[in-house]
Amino acid sequence: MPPRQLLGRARRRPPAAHQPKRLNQQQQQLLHTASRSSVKEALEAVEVHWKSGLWLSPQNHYRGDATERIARDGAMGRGPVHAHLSEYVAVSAIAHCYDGWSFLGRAIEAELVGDMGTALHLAYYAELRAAMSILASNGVGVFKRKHVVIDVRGRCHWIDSLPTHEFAWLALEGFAASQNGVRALLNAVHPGGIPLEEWLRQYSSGYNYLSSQWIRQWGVDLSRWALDRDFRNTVSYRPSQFSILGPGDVRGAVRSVVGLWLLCEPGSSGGFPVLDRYLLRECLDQMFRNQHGRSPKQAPARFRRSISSLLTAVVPTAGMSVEQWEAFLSRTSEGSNPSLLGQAATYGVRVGPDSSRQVISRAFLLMRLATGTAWELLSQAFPTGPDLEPWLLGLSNCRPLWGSEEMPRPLTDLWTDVVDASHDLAQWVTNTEHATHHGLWSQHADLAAVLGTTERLALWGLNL
Amino acid sequence: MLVQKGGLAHMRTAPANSKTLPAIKVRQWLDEWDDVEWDPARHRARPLEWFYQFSIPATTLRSLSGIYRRTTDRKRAADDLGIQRRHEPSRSSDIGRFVRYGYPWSELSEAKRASDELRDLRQPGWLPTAIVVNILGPNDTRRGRTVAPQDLVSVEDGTGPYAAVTLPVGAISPGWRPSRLPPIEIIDGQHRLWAFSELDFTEDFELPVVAFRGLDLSWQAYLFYTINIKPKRINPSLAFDLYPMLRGESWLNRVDGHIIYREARAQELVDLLWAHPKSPWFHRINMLGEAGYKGQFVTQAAWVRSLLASFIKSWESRRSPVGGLFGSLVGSNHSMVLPWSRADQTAFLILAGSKLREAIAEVDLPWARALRSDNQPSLLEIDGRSEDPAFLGPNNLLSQDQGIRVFLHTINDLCYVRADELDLHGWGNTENPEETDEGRVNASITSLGRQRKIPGFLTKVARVLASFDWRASSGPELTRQEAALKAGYRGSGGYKALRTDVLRHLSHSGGEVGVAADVVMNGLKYAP
Repeated sequence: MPPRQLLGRARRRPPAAHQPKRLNQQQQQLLHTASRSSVKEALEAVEVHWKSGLWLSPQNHYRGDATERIARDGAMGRGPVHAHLSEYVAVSAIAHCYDGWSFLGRAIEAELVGDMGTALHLAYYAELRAAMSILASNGVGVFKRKHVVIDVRGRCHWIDSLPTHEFAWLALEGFAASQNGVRALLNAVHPGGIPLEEWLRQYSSGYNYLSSQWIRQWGVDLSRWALDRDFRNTVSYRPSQFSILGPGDVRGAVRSVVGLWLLCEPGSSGGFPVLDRYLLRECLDQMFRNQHGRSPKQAPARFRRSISSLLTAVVPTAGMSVEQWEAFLSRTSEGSNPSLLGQAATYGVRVGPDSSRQVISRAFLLMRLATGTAWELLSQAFPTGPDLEPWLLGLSNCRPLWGSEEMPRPLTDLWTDVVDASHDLAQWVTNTEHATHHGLWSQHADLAAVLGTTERLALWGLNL
Repeated sequence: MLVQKGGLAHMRTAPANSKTLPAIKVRQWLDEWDDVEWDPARHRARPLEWFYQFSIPATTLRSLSGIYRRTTDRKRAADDLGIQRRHEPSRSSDIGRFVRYGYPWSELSEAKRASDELRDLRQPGWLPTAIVVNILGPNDTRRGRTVAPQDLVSVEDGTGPYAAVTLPVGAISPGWRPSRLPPIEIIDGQHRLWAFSELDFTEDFELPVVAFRGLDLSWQAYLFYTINIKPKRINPSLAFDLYPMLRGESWLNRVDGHIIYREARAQELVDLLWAHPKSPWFHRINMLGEAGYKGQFVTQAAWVRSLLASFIKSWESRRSPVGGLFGSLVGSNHSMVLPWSRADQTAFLILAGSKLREAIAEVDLPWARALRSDNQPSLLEIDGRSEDPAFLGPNNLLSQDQGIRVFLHTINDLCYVRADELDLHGWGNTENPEETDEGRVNASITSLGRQRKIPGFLTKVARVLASFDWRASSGPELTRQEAALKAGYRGSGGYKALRTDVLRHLSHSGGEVGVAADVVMNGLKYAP
């Protein structure tokens, strides 16, 4: 199946039996009251504990197993402890973001090992964490069957009865279509250091549908897996050997993973400058097509004029010169899209040999959004930067990002490890006649391990 | 009532309980404008050949233009002026906070403002740019309404450039309202006025005003467009060149305002290093980050990161006294930034790189010979120019991220600690605004070459650097011990390892260079 354009329609709609349910009107209205500003205030309140290496106060009522505490309180008829729950949800936005990158890293490792079932499973959980992080950043806490909405006064309201996966998808879908969601998701991406929404606003065309389109496309696994129990069970509980064609192709796996990392080179302040400019370009192509009824390829002169006009209004501050931006956006340079975007736009009705890479691609894009919304939250709450140094210093004990020596500063220096690993592995698959998974891990386990530590993307993306 | 000498002294006395504002008449007209197609039927009547400037209390202007404090007994907080204008309350709130607290304090949350931790970020919130208005005449109609005679604002021209603007009786009183159409319409600046409608301000907080009289509607829309939409946004990097002092302002650093300058400036410098024919890296930077050039050309992004870590940093860390020549206060007193323009900064980097290339070309050490004999010149021929593999090429640290980073660090740090001796403040600002980027950089290179001390010091540093073994761990003819040492320069840990070894190498050379290296190592707390 050839890759499709990122923002085009899906080739096939999910079967009618798998059409998602809807939240009822009361639940939707409640979700609309979710307040990002309350989350920001809660995050400011809890920062004092970060110096001691704690995310939350030792007295926080929900410290430990929040889900169990919520269930127990519910059974005893106790209401939420508003301030504590708000603080929990606020820090969970950051924690889910980091965990999501961890899951994706393990998915990539499984992909490189050739275990596509595990890769698919873990990549799905990265997507779920992305959804939970985005929602938490915007005032919605996802738990087990009792979820919470934090309103503008910092009061917590329950939404009952929906399971985690189902609620996460429905809430995310609804959020993406809301005015707050449009703003939050489009401002999560910063091409050239400028929020995407500002680019699009200057392009003089409607753009409110884009965030919904992204979530529908990149969240397709969430929608199917949350609501299609058979599908989820096939991957999670059935023997992988019976359901997924394999073993995976190690060359394809390495190239796919290296291709993902090529989109991740951090800017001077971290972020995802490479990926973000591709996303911008796709958005502009789509908007031009909607506005003029022709693609940029069919009307190149007109498109170039629109780009030129846009770059007069928007002056990118980082990454490339105006001339380079013009060449890039009009596809005079780097005209092709990265294969990851095509993989993300492709899904099959059944699980197949390419499924894991497609889910990894979508998870990566959702994690990009989650990281952007978490970063916005942190930068608004802490204009002079959050004090997360104790947590960062502790990372070397649980993630192989750096050794016992000093933590590198700036953290973007960690990029050079990825460059070396990507280059050497790419050379290996090119020059090795009979490349196998065993060969990869017996000869280059250290390089493969580097490519599995996507936790560094959390650090760059949050500009720590 | 009029205190100006001369032009206004003869004017008639204003009624009691009204106010007359002294104004300046500003004549702006060119003969070419007579050819404009004036068409009153399309709201493009020929305007007066001048406008007025004066200042007025914000609260008074607000009343005169129909922008009122919201009360429960009013349906709308602004009278319809006949011009469809949208008001964004959030923008006015932002302006109101800015006036009270200045930037960046105004953008902090309530909690942050209350915490006192950032008290030193409070600054004045001046509004020096003029509100642009139109003063309606007795015959001007808007949606069928006119200004009541008693509500008209009158303007009387005096001799010379002076005029007097007389406000309606009672207009300066709190709560005054026009009985029909407000006598002033706002062309640009309505959000500033809305900000004053919501908050308590002293009655004498004044705003500068540019006032047209009887300006037709179409010209008002045109003015709004040329003020707000047409102008190209100023490049933030350029702003920091126009006001170099901004680079050293601590409040900007606290809220990452400098990031805007630093990132933009870093990219511009890399672009110029790639594009300028005299640059040693002319067309030898991987500007698009394309695959396949690893070990030959460093990417643009890596160059940007390295410049930000070296020349354009503010400080190494809170504890270190070593700052960036282009980003921090320089000199023993740390009181001034270097007023070097972008062209000057580029010239400095080009000179430093050229000195290194020349010094390496002269060395005949084993490491250089090994690289030269190992590489085929054709691989390094670009634009008809062959490159010395000992300066640029495969298996050479100077063609890798770590090598460029350490080179930039070294030049920056050593020059930084010798800033006074080198008289860095005595040079710079050689930009000729009429020339191209290439021309401006050429002028700066020429000027820098004539300096007494800077070129000589860069030559000395380059000669010592050229005696360092720049082979990468994959380099030719390395002993096992050498290869193991150089393996430590790979990866993220390699930056510090290489920097330490290069500084030690410089320190051991003695002389002016050795002394500077010692100072840097002490400042960074590196073991000798």
